[in-house]
Amino acid sequence: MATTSTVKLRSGDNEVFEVEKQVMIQSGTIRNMIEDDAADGEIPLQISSRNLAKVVEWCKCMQHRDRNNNNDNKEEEEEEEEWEKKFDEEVSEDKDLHFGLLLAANYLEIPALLHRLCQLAADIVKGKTPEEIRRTFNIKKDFTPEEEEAVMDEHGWAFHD
Amino acid sequence: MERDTRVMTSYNYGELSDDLLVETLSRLPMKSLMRLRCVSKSWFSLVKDPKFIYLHFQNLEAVDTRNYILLGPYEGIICLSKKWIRSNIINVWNISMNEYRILPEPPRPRSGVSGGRPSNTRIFCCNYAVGLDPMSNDFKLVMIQTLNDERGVSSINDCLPNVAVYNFSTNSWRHVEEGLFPVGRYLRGKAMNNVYHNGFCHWVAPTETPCDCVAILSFSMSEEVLQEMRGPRVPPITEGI
Repeated sequence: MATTSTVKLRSGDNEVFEVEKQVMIQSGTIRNMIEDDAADGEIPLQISSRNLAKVVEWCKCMQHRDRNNNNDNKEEEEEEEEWEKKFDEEVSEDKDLHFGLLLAANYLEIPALLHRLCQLAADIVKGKTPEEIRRTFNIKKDFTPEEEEAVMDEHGWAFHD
Repeated sequence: MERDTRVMTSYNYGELSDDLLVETLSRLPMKSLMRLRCVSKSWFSLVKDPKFIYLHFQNLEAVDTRNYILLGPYEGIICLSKKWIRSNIINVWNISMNEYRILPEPPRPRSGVSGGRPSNTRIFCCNYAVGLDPMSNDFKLVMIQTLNDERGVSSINDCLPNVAVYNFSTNSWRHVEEGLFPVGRYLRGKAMNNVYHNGFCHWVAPTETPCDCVAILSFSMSEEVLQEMRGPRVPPITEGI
């Protein structure tokens, strides 16, 4: 049986984060390690310290929220909402952070964070034209001019409000 | 050192794994999905992929199925449409052909058709039916919108409907303007079930008075004409013996 109540995560650039196990069990990957008693030493992760700090911060906030779910503390609730809003803004404006967190949430198996990040990515794509989407995703247009005309003809209505 | 340079490199969403990409794109609203089809060939096929469509339906958390009308299956064709007529998006899934499409927007009601429609009508209720045109062997979808006058001067009972036929092979709508008559007393507030048989779509509706009489509204898929048929007198149903 594990003896400590915390887990140590080592980032790709060698920074160690000591976090409560209760917080990190939101990650399927870490939870498995804890259950297998394989989390007593440091867990090395190929995630940069910046991204890992953000993931940990997110997990803490979510755990705090879940624990206080039954409390009727309006002030705290507003604070959490404010935090989430700030998180969304920060991620949407910083592509490297967004991308890094997507990979981290995927690797660490944190479904709620992954869904949030995918939704934010979807919001970025939502209003874009095909050309803008190609630029964002680095996709080459492989339609012939005739094919492009046909496909635009059929879906042109989707570009109007 | 190599890791450091990688950290400095600006990432591109294009480097997302297929799983994450699908997870992301399946969260987009329908209209944006249609734009995705214009991006590239692989995205075009992705958005048509039934597995993707299934995931998309699952991810639409806000979707309340009670707000949808489901038609069919008829010969493997299923149509799904929002009940609320302000959004005229109709999704069609042809299971046998493994094809998914979103129909172009149906034509809006025109005012003053044969003098029987005031200029400021609004859509009261929308009915759809799918069937085969036995003459051209093409599938068609008919839309019948009952209209009423916004100011309430004329009710749905005396307003001509907005009728249009969608042709699956040409992917286009045609307005039906001839031979229309008010159908409000058959197709009232809620969308009604219909039956397709032998080139005709039928709706069975009770007439208002006397209530022991039913009427059948039918639409010919090949001639694209709406007809009403007085049904037989049905003895009043008495409860108990």
